[in-house]
Amino acid sequence: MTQNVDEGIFLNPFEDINAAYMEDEQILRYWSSPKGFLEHGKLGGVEFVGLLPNIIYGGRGTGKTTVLKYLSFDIQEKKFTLQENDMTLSGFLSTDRKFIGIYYRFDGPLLTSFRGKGIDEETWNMVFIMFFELVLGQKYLNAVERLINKGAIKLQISEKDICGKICVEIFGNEIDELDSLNKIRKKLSSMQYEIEQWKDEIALHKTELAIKPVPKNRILFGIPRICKDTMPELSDKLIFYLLDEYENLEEKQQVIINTLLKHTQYPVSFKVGSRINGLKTHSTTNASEHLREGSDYREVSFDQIIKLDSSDYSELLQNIANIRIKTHHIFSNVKDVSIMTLLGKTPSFEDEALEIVKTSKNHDRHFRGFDKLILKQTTDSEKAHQFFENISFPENPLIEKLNMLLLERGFRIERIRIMMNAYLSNEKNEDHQRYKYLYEKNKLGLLFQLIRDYHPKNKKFTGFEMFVMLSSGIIRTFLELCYYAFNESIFNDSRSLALGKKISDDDQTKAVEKKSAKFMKDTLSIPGDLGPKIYGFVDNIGTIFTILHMNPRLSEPEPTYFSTDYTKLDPDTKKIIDTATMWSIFHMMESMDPKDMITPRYTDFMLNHILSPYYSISYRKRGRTVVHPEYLKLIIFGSETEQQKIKQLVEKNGANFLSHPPITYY
Amino acid sequence: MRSTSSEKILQNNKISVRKTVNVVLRDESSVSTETKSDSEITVYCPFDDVVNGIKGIGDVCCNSLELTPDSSVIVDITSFIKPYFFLLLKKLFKDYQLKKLGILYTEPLHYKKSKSEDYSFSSGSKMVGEIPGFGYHEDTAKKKLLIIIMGFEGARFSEVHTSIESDLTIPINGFPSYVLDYKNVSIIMNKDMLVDANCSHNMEMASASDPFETLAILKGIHKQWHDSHIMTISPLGTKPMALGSCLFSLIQHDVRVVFPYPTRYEPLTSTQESGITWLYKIEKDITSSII
Repeated sequence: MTQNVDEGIFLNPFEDINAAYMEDEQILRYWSSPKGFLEHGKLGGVEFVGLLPNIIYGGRGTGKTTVLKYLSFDIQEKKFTLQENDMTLSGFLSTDRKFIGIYYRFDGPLLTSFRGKGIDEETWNMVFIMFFELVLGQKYLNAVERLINKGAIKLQISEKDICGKICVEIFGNEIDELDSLNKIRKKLSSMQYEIEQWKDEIALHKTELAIKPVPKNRILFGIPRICKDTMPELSDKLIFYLLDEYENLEEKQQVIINTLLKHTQYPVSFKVGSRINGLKTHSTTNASEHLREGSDYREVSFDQIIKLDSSDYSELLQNIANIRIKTHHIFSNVKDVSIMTLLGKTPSFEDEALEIVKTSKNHDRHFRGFDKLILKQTTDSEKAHQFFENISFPENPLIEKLNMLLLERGFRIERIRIMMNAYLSNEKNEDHQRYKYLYEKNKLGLLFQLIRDYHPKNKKFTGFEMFVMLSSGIIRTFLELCYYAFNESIFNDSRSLALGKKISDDDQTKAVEKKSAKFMKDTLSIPGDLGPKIYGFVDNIGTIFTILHMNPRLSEPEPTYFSTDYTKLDPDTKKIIDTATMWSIFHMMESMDPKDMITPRYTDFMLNHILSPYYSISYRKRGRTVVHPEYLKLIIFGSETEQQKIKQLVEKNGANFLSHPPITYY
Repeated sequence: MRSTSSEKILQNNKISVRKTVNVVLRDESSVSTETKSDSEITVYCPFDDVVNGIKGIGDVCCNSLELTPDSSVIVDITSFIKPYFFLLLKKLFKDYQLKKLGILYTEPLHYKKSKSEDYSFSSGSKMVGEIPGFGYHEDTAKKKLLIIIMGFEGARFSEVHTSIESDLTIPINGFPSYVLDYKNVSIIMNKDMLVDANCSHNMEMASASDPFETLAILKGIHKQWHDSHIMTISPLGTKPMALGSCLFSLIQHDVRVVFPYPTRYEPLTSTQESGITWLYKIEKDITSSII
């Protein structure tokens, strides 16, 4: 182990974290089932192992691809052979196994090739669906071939007869040469190739597509039906087409696939993975029909699969991380090492505040402004000194900060002293309750202000709980934070790390700051020409939150989300917000019920916690800022002057004005 | 401006030009031509519609140039956007079976930085799409290999990588660079992606000015990986390197080329003054593999 470190070989255990790039073996190796995963055929409490299609919504990095790939035949086959320690698949199709999953990811650049080049839309639609069926058909046949070859299926009738039925289904007649599933698969492949060649040729010359179209749905539904009817082992198995990255499809392409979802045929169903707002339309090819949630498909939100605020999420992340650590070439030999020991516990706000003050030369920077404030209550310097003593509590600088806040808000010193003492002595009375409420509500906001008082001190972002919190429910973000933290530690102190020692606070904080900055920078790359606009929008909102955090009166502590009447947004603003949500920059939630009949129902948009370090703001859902749709529009599309003016007003007056329509002095 | 210097260079090298077809790319959707004289035609082509633009150029070639396989054709790719010259070269080789082709390219002397101290030759992001005519056979049994010919705009690497989600990524760095000052710029500008895509250890090098080096590297990569991987190339680097990848894709049909189409190009603000002009001769050893 030491030898490896000396030789400079210390691989980061979090090197491969994007499921899209991971080998099947890696997905299997690192898989950790969320609690209740597919229990009673449900996913996130929603019926999943059934004929009704599902659309799984989740932000980027939440784990949709991992789940879909895990359910695929490719990975289930590998899992079976590893568990049974047997290269055959006999027993694979036991009664426990309810479905066979065929995974397919929609490739964005490929999808864009089904357009233009002087070809009409109707032809493209026909070509697209044919292409899609050919590809999925091959994947299905490949799975069946493997099941046969490895003993999971024992053919009761000859393969030639089965192929005859398939040929009739898709070509209209038997074809003698296509007497094996392998040959049919190759025929489908050559048809696919004809389409691909044609797409290339029409870039230069208009040519007719040489192949005869196969009647719609015969490949997707017909072949599985024939296999079910002729192979007893498949008679009770459903076929799930696991379609990933649905949001990559253009709207007209989604219309086509929506039609398949709506009219799926036994034994086939579709399980679709999409980003939030990835379903661009509910239309189908029949103008009078559309896709309806509840009757045509069921939605599963990734939040339902992994309850984000729960200990289950935290436990899942621990499991996922510990699998990587325990199988790591260096850590596998270190006793009692885990992600908890390597990241350590997140210090409490109080401990962090104490450290900030104690490690400074001057211990009362957070009392700056006291002299000015106390003048409102006494001009006697001796009394002022006594008052200062009354609100001091060096054991907890956050208490002192709260006292300063109360002073700022006009509380009398005596009142503050009584409340503080009641809290500290745990007296069960109203003063204690009130002070406790104010303390819990404001302590993180006060910590941020304390850090600013002691500039250039920075907020520390350390510990397992912190990483969990900052991940915002996105598993990949948590793994990326670990990746960056390990990178820092491997570079700075690989020897200690190799012994299983905790990654230093500095390395962890640096990692978090890097990831936070990168997340922000990546918004510029959002396609569809929206990146720069979204970047500007997030930056404005983030800056507004920062300004509110630094408000000495902390009128709304820890503002980290805004609410708006989503139904009143204009299309352009909606597009920006929807896209930002799709890319997990915001987390969209239904707001609480309005207080009265007049107040509209708002929608909340919480900034991704990973941006908290970037803007030096809290990562808890606490303070809400109501923003009128017209102001939102200005924040996104307004001129630089208008946006600057808004920020100046927030600094001067707080954010209440944002909840009303803008005054026209802009 | 850099393109006009090539005419002088041809004259200085005693290469007489019988006919010239000028191509002007613009924001309009239609294609039109303007015959300036018997020996000079200008074709106005839309930025956004490569297929129609090349069709327009093709019509001119057909009607006015009387090209045969033995014709001597020189294409100046200096100011062409990459999707355009990719499809143009395909057309010249496939339709006219040219046995040889000359490619002119004039290097910039400097690259101008944007306000944010980045190199920005384009802005916005329309989509990452296949260059028309350069698709491949999607074999879902194989893994995906992405080859990025790195440029100065790091964000483009990220866009392409996110849209492809390859199993393996091989970056190609243009080294030696045109000018010594730029020798590390591609790596610096792409450093985040080199880490995120876990591909810095796979990096290959090819001269920024020599398309044949890029061609050779790509052939080597293809030989190593084609049994297990389907290949996608994204030419984000210099035009000569893009030319190398274009020739490779014309020879090797099981490769696709994707490009991050921006909303706007900003060539005039990004490059200034002319450096060396190269004439690349594509001859029988390559053209015979294409035709």
